[in-house]
Amino acid sequence: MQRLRIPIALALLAVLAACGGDGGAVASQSTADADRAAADGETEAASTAASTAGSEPVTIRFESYNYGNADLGGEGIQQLLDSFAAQHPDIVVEPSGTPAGEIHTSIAVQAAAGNPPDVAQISLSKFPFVLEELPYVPVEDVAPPDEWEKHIAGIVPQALAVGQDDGTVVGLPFVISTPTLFINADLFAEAGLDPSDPPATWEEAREAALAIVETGAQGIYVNAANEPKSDFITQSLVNSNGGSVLSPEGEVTFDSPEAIEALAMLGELTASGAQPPVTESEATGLFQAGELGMYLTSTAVFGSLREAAEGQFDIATGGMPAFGDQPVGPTNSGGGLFVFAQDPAKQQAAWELVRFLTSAEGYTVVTEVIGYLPLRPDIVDDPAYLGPYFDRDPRLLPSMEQLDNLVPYQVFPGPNGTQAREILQDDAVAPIMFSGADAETVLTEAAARVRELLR
Amino acid sequence: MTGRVGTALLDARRETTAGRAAGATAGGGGRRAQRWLAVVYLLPGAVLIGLWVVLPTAGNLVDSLTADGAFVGTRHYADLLAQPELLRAAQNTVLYTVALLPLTVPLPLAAGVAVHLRGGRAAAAYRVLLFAPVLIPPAIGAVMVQWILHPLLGVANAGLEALGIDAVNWLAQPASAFAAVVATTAWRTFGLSLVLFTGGLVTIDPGLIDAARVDGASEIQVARHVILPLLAPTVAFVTLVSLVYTSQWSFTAIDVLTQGGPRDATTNLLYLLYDYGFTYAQHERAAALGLLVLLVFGAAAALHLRAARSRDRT
Repeated sequence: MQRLRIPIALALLAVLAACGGDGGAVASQSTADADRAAADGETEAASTAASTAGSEPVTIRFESYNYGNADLGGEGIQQLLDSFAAQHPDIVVEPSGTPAGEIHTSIAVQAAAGNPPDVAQISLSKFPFVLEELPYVPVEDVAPPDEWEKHIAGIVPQALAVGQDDGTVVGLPFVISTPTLFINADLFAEAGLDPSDPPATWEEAREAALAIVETGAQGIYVNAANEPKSDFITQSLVNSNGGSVLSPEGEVTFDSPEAIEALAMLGELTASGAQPPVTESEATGLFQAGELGMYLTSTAVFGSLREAAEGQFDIATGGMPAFGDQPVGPTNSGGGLFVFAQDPAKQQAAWELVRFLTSAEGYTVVTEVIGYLPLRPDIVDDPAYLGPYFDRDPRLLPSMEQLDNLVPYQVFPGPNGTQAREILQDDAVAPIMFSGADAETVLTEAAARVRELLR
Repeated sequence: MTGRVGTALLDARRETTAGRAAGATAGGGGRRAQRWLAVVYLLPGAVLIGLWVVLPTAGNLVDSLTADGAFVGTRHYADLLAQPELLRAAQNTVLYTVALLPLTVPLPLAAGVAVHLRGGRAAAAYRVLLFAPVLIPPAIGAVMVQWILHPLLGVANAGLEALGIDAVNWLAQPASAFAAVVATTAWRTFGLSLVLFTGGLVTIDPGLIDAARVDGASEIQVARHVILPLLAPTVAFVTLVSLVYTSQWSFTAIDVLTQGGPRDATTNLLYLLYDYGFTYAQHERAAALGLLVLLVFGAAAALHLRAARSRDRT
């Protein structure tokens, strides 16, 4: 059947190629991070590369949803690719950027035409799609066995587990975040609140938001109905109220009383005026302009928020608020690195890239520049890696502390899983948050439809 | 036309190679050469249509009838017809057509005729003003509307608040979101239809209009009894184009403003097709819907063309 899709895929590829942005190779660019590479054991790879420098370089394509963005996400990936190019002159990486919500279908189209990228950064919420629809090669099978064990030692086991299938690591976790409450400390102070004592419960958050609204600014924005249709904040809210989106047996449970109560809170925030009825990008813009008091979202935007706030206002952070005295149950969002290269030489080059991006050096850049959480705990205090960064700026620590309570992200299974997630987000969460919809009605209807789809 | 051009080219060639061609200008050879030239002229178009229309449609047909390479008959079609979102998308498609048709046919027709009867330099200025929105790229036009309707910063809510009315979250309520998509689409299609009607109007002999005026006909009577009957083929064409293309024209507005929401209130068949194919990656379902859409709109176009032809004959 794939062969029969080729005509369509060719047409689509032409369009994608036109829209794909900068696909320029980065092999010859320089870097200033050679010291870290040496400390990371990358000297071995670098010397191997040097010994083969006389031979023809291997070219691989890398598709990423951070690459090419005009923000610190794009800057961080570029920095990593520059470092990799300096250390691996025998490997040419041709990067391209595709939005997070489209990258899995983009790769499916390219795979149908027989030409998928060699390595791709794909949202972990699309993991079932990768397993069922994409011609992946498990990263564990691509890595030389001796290198593999050495490499994964030190990666947070819960993060490693999210990319596993039947005990095999299919994709390595690359960029992981948990919901974090970013606080405009100046607006907090103006409203008579203490930014060093962030709201611990949703009730406190609502009261604080209304106090900020009194000053003329916007109160709080919970990024639950976001643009890539990610449900990780939805799940985090439901988990924190004693519910779940799916039961351990895979039954749909997001219409339980606990889930309804948790998500109804989003509508109550909007109805009370504590939350502006705007989109994710508008909320980000409001926060960056110093007009929004609190913003519960992924740590992934920390770098961009920090940069925008510089010289304008101070940012404080807090963990996700709780429902009363119940424990908070945040889940993670983020992306993993998957290999699609079939040619052995390209597979080896792909492994080198994945190994570098998920090394201590790679995770350091991902945390320091972009704001994702470091997935190797031992680099947090290491003076060669994140030690100096966290000494300077400890604001990601509340998010890291949440990793102890991390509830595994739940994925809607099967070929209709993506549609099921979008129904939860588009037909329930967004209407509750923006349209004043009754939470029980829309969640019950959405759950019924999702049950049909997953049957 | 192609034959005439071909003959002219052949004549020119014969003149330049008169000596050598002396024995090769027999009638049969000329006709063969003409046929070859016709093939050469048709080839680029045929190849492009084959590559971009026929081949993907055939591939789509095969996809809609197979699963993992095995023939499954109408299974994907039955699966598609069981999806509740299909019914909502079909209903919305009809609603879009009903809502957009008056804005793409009678309204620009009335404006076009009024401007035509007005005549003079003012008419040209009106035409430019009414056509101007067509020059704005659809996505940019939709983003402009998005800002006009912004719940906090938009001028629409500023106007309401000035009147003492509470702000509205326009794109989050089903009715206002649907109206916003219709208005954003019609804003452009109005100008396009106007140009088509103007093209038809300038072919009408001004003497007929003057004669009717001399006979004492009012402007409305001139429009109704002289212009409209002569403009009927253009009206039929614009109606056909509007029927077939309203779904496509509204696609950009839907994608930028609502992505089909809230709760599918603004989706249509083409947007659902996009969702199936590119968002949900349900290729077989998308293939089946693509073929059904082609059949439905093809049938609508065929019926309309037949009706127009029968009107022409009577």
